[in-house]
Amino acid sequence: MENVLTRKLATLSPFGPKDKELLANTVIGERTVKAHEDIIREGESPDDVHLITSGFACRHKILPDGSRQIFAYLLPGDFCDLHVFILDVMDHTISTLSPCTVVDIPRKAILRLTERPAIARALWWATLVDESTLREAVVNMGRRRAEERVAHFLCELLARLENVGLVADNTFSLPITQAELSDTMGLSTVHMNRVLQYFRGQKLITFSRGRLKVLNVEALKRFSSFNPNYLHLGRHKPKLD
Amino acid sequence: MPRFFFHVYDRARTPDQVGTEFPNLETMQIEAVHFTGEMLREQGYGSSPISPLAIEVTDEDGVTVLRVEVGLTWPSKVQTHVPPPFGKFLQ
Repeated sequence: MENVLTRKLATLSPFGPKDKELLANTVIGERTVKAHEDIIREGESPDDVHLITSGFACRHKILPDGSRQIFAYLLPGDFCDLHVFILDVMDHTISTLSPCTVVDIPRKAILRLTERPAIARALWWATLVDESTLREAVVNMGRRRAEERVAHFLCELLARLENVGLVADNTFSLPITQAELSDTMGLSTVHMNRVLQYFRGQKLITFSRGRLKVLNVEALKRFSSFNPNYLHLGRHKPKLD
Repeated sequence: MPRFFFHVYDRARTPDQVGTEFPNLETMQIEAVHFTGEMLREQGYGSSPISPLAIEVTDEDGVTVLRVEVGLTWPSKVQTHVPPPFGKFLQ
């Protein structure tokens, strides 16, 4: 089968038949996880690496006073904790936002994947892009105005979901609450609410029943000065070839 | 849970038509102060002007339950800019 992982990674470096077979044999045994459950907690040292195959999950930290910052979204085809394979202990928590399907990949299987150069490069790429996405999130939180910040985040989701074939007619499933959006954007819920009302008023988006439609993609991108370069999407040609 | 509406008075006066639910008055008040701070931070970015700012919170019956105001003063010029008057678009 062509699974989400193959689809995502294959856009990066061309896989041979052996690579594809190995990937197909690795991504087996999906299990479902309900919404708002922890996949892995800070301090844990997991034996498996987790791959999201459907649904939305997030990386987050909770402070002693209960306030929370979400700093990464994990979408279908994203590894939750590839770095734990090297770093041993989780330094943050990963939880589902919506119901998810997850594949648990044993560390040994990851080791086998890394023995294939094309796959190893693709996994390395995925880790680097996680990092560049986090850099952009820091800039977004630290320096953009609230409206531009949220618009930028929506443009990013649109681009990432398009890349894995989950956008139709500029519409995608966004199964999260306004409180979770606030925790992502570092805004009060009242401010988040105000920003969404502004976007609706400007006819930039509609958002109801967990589905978000971008009515004017170009305007939303222009408004937030969105440059997708940090996502490094599109077919990648490794310079070492 | 009771719903409250957070109307913003700065150069552009924008009523809150949707509102947000809070378990009690205390959490609403803390949120109102945080929100005011965030709105203040928005000022002066790019071409957005600085101006006095006021947030008025109303309940579901339209009764004002809280006001947060931020003024601008220039003591040397003996000139004061106070927050704009409330209630213009609520009547």
